Amino acid sequence: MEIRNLSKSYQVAGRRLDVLKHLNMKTDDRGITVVLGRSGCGKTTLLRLIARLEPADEGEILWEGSGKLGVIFQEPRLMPWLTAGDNILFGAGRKEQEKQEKLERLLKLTGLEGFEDAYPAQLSGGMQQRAALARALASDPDYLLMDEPFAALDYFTRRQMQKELLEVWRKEQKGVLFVTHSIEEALALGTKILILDGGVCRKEYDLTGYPYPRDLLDGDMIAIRKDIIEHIEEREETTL
Amino acid sequence: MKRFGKTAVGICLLLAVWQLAVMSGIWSTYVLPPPAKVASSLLAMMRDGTLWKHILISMRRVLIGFGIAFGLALLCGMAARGLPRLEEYYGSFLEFMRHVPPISLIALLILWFGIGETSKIIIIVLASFFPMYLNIRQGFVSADRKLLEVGTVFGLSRWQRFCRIVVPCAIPDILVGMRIGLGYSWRAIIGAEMIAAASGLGYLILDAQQMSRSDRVIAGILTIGVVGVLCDWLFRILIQRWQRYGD
Ligand SMILES: Nc1ncnc2c1ncn2[C@@H]1O[C@H](COP(=O)(O)OP(=O)(O)OP(=O)(O)O)[C@@H](O)[C@H]1O
Ligand SMILES: [Mg+2]
Repeated sequence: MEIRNLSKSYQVAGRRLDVLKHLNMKTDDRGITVVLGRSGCGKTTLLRLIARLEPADEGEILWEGSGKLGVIFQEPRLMPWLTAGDNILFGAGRKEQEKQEKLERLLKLTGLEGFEDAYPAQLSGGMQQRAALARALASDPDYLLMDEPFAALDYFTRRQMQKELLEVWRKEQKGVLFVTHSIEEALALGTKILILDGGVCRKEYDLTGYPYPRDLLDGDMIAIRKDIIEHIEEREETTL
Repeated sequence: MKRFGKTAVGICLLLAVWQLAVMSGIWSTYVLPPPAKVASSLLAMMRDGTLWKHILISMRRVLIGFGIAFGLALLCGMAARGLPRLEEYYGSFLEFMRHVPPISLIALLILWFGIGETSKIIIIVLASFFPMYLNIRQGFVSADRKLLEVGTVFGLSRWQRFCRIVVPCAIPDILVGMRIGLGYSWRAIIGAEMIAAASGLGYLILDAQQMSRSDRVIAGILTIGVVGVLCDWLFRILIQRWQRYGD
């Protein structure tokens, strides 16, 4: 997926707020592209533009896939009146036989076996987020967009979910665009990391060569982490 | 079950007070008949079928009026969501009508439609439309935007989003509206039947009063209350069914 010259601004309290300013970037379509940036830098805005939930002011999003995206929002956004199973199959098409097979496979993949008849209110936060992941996968998307899906989870659950995401990615062979503000998460997951700051893509790192699971205390990882922090903080100094 | 027991105790106490009041002799038994008398005339009316006949007639009116009002409220509520521009035209009129008690229109209705079924059904429609419309509208309009975006992401059309997201979001409000609306219709029909009718529970009461049969009046009142409570209870169960996921 390639993004060219993408701009988006909002009117906030009577003033124009430029969130994305002629953003150019390219994702790794087989791997996990992580967009990393501080809170409020426009990550959610970027995903909403890609998911066509909002129109861009300018620029284009080029992509060769079939156009089928799976979106996982910052919150699970499950339908409270449907069971976990029906939620997972929400966008899965009509064929009953196929749906049943799909449900079984996805329940196993996301570790929700035995909970297909539970309502969202009866699931924990992590389980809801896994159901949302399964729901996105059930529509057979070519590409997954994930907006800080694990930000609301505690450390241990988050680690667990990251592991599961890597597992899903390996089995399903789908490209993933993952948005986060956590450097650790970016380093643990990304095959490519893009730093979004001030409305543009400031820097990119290629991590294809590093196998999973990654040791974040490894020398290279520490070096990359330092470099990322420097890039984000350096801009902070120049703008101040 | 405990609750049931307490209710039974309360009813027994009430009956005892009633019996005592009768025995005190302050009121003549024509004005305040003893519980046993009321029970026996209730039984008599059940046995000869008059009670059932009047209940069915009132119920039929309520169901027709309520059905029409529900249909209209559903249409207007849907329009408020789908065509908000249109609502600007009729919104103020509805707001005005909402504050006019339907019984106050009965004089005009009788002039226009006579004392037949039509004017009674119109009264019920007027009485139950507004609580239903306001709740249904609220349900449709306040459907969760975040859930709607999920529908957009899965490529659902506007109509599919309406059926699969907006309607389920609105169902609790719709049911609450129906429950309130049914209560309003039931009250309105009794009022209308007491003003102009030759049948129905309201007429039964009025007729009994004119014949100085206060035992029958009280029996009629009890019937109205019981039928009202039963209808409400049915709706409450429906609502709980739907909201079972919430706990
Ligand atoms: N609908 C909107 N209307 C007006 N301003 C908006 C809207 N959505 C986002 N913004 C503004 O755009 C900026 C970027 O918001 P965005 O939600 O994309 O940030 P983010 O990077 O996702 O932050 P976070 O990590 O906290 O989720 C913010 O300053 C916000 O005020
Ligand atoms: Mg965000």
